[in-house]
Amino acid sequence: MVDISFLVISVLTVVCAIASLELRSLIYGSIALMGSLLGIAFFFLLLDAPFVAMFQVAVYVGSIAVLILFTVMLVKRELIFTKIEDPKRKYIGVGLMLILIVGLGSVIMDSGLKSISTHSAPIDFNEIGEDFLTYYWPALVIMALILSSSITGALVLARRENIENEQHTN
Amino acid sequence: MIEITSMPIILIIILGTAGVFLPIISIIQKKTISSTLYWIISLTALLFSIFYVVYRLISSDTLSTFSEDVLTIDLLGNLFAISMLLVAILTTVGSLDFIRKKSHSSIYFSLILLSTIGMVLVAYSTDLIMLFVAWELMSIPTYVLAGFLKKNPSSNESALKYFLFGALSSAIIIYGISITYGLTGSTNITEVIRIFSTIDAEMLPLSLLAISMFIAGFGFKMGLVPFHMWLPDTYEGAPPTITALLAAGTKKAGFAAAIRIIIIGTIALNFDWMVALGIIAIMTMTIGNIAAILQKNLTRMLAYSSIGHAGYILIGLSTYPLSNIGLQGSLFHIFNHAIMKCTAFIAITGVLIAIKTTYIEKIKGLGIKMPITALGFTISLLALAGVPPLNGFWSKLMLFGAALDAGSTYSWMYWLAIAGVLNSALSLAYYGWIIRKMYFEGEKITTIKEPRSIIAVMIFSILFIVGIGVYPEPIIQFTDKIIFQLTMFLS
Amino acid sequence: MEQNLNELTAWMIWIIPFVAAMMMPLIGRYSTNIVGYVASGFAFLSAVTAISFLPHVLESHEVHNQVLWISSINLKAGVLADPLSILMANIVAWISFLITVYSIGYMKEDKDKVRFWFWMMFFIGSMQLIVLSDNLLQMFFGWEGVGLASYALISFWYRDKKQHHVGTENRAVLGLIEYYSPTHAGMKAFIMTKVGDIMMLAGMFLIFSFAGTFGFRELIDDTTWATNMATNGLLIPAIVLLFGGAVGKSAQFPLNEWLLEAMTGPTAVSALIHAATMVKAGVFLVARLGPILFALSMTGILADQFFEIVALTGAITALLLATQGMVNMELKKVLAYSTGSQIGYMMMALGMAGLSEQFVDGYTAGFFHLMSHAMFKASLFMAAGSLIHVVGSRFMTDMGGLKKSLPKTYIFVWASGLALMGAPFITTGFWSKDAIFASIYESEHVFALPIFIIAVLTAIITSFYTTRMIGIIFFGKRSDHITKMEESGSNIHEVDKIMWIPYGILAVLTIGIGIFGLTAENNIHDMFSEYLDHSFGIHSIHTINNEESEFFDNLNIIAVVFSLLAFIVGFALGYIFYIGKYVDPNKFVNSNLVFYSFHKLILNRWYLNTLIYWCFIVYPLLLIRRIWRYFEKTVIDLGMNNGFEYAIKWSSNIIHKTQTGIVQSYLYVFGAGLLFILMILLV
Repeated sequence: MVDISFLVISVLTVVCAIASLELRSLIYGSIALMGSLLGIAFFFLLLDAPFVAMFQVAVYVGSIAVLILFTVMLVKRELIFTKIEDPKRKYIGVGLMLILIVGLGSVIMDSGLKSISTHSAPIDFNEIGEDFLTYYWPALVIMALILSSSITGALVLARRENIENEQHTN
Repeated sequence: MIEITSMPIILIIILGTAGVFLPIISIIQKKTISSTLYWIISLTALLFSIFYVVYRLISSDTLSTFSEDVLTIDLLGNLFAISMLLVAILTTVGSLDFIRKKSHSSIYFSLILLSTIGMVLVAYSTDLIMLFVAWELMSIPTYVLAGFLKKNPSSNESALKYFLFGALSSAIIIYGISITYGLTGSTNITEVIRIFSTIDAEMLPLSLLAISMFIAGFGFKMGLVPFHMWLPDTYEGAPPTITALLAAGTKKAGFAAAIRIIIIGTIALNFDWMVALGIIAIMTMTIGNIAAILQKNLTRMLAYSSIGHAGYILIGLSTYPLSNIGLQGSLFHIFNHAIMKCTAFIAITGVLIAIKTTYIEKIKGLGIKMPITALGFTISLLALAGVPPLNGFWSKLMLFGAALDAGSTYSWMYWLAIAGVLNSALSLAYYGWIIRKMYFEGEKITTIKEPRSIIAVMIFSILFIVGIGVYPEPIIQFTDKIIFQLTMFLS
Repeated sequence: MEQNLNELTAWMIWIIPFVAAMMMPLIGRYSTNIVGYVASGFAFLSAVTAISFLPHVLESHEVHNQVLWISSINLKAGVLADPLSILMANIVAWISFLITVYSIGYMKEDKDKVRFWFWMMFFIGSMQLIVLSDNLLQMFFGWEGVGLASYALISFWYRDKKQHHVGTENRAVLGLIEYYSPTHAGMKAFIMTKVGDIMMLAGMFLIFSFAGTFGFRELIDDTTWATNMATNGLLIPAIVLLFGGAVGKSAQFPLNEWLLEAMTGPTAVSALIHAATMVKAGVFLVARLGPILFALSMTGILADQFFEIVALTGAITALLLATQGMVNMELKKVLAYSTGSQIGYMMMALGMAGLSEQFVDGYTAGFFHLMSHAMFKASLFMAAGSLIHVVGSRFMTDMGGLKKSLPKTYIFVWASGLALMGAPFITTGFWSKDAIFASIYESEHVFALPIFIIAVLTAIITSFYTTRMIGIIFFGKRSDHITKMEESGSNIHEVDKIMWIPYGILAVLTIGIGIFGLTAENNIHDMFSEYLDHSFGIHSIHTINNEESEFFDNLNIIAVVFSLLAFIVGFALGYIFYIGKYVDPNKFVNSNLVFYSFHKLILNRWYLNTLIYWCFIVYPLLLIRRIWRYFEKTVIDLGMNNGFEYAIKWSSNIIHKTQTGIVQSYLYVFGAGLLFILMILLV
């Protein structure tokens, strides 16, 4: 049961990921991304980590992907790309990716991972929360700073400036 | 749990407050304030922080190398924190004339401050999560800063490339962290190292996978060779002040993280990584210097030269278990390179402000046109090349000397020294070319007004470079103490 | 606490001038007029710092402070303030202070004040660094600093205007024109002293390779290095190489020629070079090394050859340059010849000191002469600068009859001139020269007699050319040049106060100290014998046991007689030719072939300058050019240009081609890199 569902979810996730890269339309692309993120949430469920899965759904599928969708819809003009694509480069890319997958996969498979016990105790959420507020608290502060810096940065970059005004001040 | 009065937290508070409030002030006040005020605020915060770090360094000498906490206060972190704060100060000072006529100066300074917090915390962090978060805090503001010249297409391109590769390397670091966590069950580096040293032989490939993820992820910032491709494009397109911050600051944070995780980790794994780092070192310095030689743009040339310098620094890391002098030289060279590169890029900023271009053909006669900028530039270039009475000479001497020392154990180490010396000679050729253009070419030139903030940076740097060149002993002893602490920790 | 303060003060003596030098450009931004005053102030500060040290050190407390410089090769930097270096530092500091005061007036109308003052301060700082450093390497840094500053100052007027040249225009010797521009003179000084510097560097590192240290104190404390070197036969070569540095810097034979062209800089610079900073460095080096080597003889390692070489070099230089001083017509050049020859005296004294039993006698004599020479030569040079300034010509023939117009300068030149001549009993020059004579005479070495004769001969000549100089400048008729100047409206008058007071002070001091010359000498003698005893273990034979009878103890009657005689003969000859004008010198020279050819020989500087140019500059350049051309055709064109450059360009282009700017390809490299690293880690 688990094996079959794992296989299905894997295929779904990977296909969605490829689709989000390859689709021309940004809206469909972001929807595909949502699918891929959702697939990862299912992986967490399979791994007996419902808490993390819930988080994945809430944060990534729920907010981030929606944010992306909104952004895409808010951008008025349809983005036009001049497509300079070398088919050779594409094949090289695919080949390299396969080699990478095989290489990393063989390293992982080769190591003693198979022998790791799967019967560990389920994660205690309280402990995670406690850790966040005690051991990891500077990291939380830093994350707040990251958020504030990304917001100000995004504001600066996204702001459409009155070009004539700018030239006057110059 | 780390206390709120410990030094890194206080640095976060000082710099973070200033960094967060600068944009708020600008929103409230609406263009009635000149950029000088923001400049003064951020400079004050930075100066206060560096004095605080130095004060704490002097006042307390009992420090632990690694702690059970997310952050530690040790000499290694102090060295990096001081050099990064110094770089941030120089960049901030040098930015004044560059940013004055541009909009959003408050955000510009605020992002520099936030990025500085990230760099400093990377140096102090002893927890993988903390390290990663600090790494992101360091990186994200610089993505924005690299694209700060919104109407300049090359600035946009540089920011985009930088962001793409930054995201990729972050993903790779996270992957490495997750593997490490899976192997050890802890994110604390002390804990990780303890478990690494008793790890199953079966698990070794997996931990090596994690290590190579870290090399790739941090190597992106350091500019190591297979991961360096974004670097020239970004350094060239970004505003030169930000290039100074990238080349002198964030690059060094990469080394801080590398020393904390890669070097210590591999030592704990009891694994011979010297050949791998040696190969990367030789590749890095050779490709960096050879590519630099035919460049037409100053920024791009120096970008390649900073790749080359990453190679020199790696020499010391790869010889560490055989000779302490190597790692000492690396630390010293990191410190020196931060100052030298920062000076060079700030000088380029001055050139850009004054003559609106950074092409080497256009800086003919700069020695007369902008005497102080040209002098500072020349001295930083000579220091980069490792000309004797300047600081770069001593650190290179230590690095190459360590390689020669180590050569008695592994004979291939001689090649590190040989490659280093040859590359230094090669680099002298293109540095010399710039100097020749500045001083021996060009006719009918009159002096033009040099931006004051640039002059201030130049004078400080000249004194600093020459001062350390004449009397390098304090820094060498400082690095000696760092190595002592590290060896104490490892044994 | 007090010890720390003293150590800090010792550092400050040489750091202050450097700090001042660094401040010059900054101050120059606000006002170029106050630069000189600020510099002078700093020189005064340095001088005060130096003199505050004097009482402390005279009680023979040695202040030695070291800091680690570069620990990995165990290099230390430090200051060593012992009686020798503190006395020297005081001389340097005070003379340079007076010269800086003088320069304020002298450089008043120059446009390039900031550059001038920067290098002046740098010059003084470098010299103090030489004096106070406690090891050879640090000394060498000062040594090079002095060389650099002298180059910059000698060719200060780099526009090469005719009035700043030296030599007579169109006057050729053996086919080479002896007429040099400031830039040429600067380069000549730089290269000639560099020859010595390279020798010094070689000697230094030879010693370092055996001793493992550069420190003077360490070299004294542990003498195994000397034993090792002596058994390998390397001790004498090494120290002779070191002496080579002194030869170059002090303009001794055969590296003397640069000093004569070093006149092209501002006269204040010449004063500094001759009196305080540059040429004295060589003497100081010998004075530093002398006791170390003499102390070795007590452990059985003889360094006699070294002292013989020093003494002979000094003697040859003294005579050689003195003779040339008799005929030259350029005022500053005459003084330059006399400097070289006086330095020769000091070398003689130091060399003979090492060859006699009583080391301290010669040592004191040499150092005392250095002191007195510093005073009168600085005074003479500054006065010469004033004269040239007033008259607008560097030739003495353009002066003449200036006695009435510049009365103060006239008196001061007489005072310091008498000191140079060694006028008996009232001038410092007499006592110091007499001490040298005495020490040579008493040394009882085989060289004593020939060197004594040379010394006396040189003294006669010195006395003669000084009289001649004064005679031509101040006596006789006014020259055509001056008459023309006065006709065109400019009147010849005394220079500013700020200019004549400095050399006035020195001239008065020369006589003032000269009156108590013997006491002064005895005091220095006592101090040095204690110092040598204390620091090096060199005991003097007749120690200070008989306090009462010591006053005339050191006075050797034969030496006194000969120095009196030399003064009188020289002065009389000079008086006959140039003041009384009983005989016309030109007629006298042309009266017979011997005089004529001798005159020509010394006028052409014994052909030494020309020979050096032919042998070391002209022919080698031709040869090198020919070799170079061959080399260029074969190795450079074929090998370097086509081979090397092509290889670099080719590899550079390959890297450029991979740098496409396309993100995808970068990504592939990244991925491949990750695999590559994993691979080399795993293998």
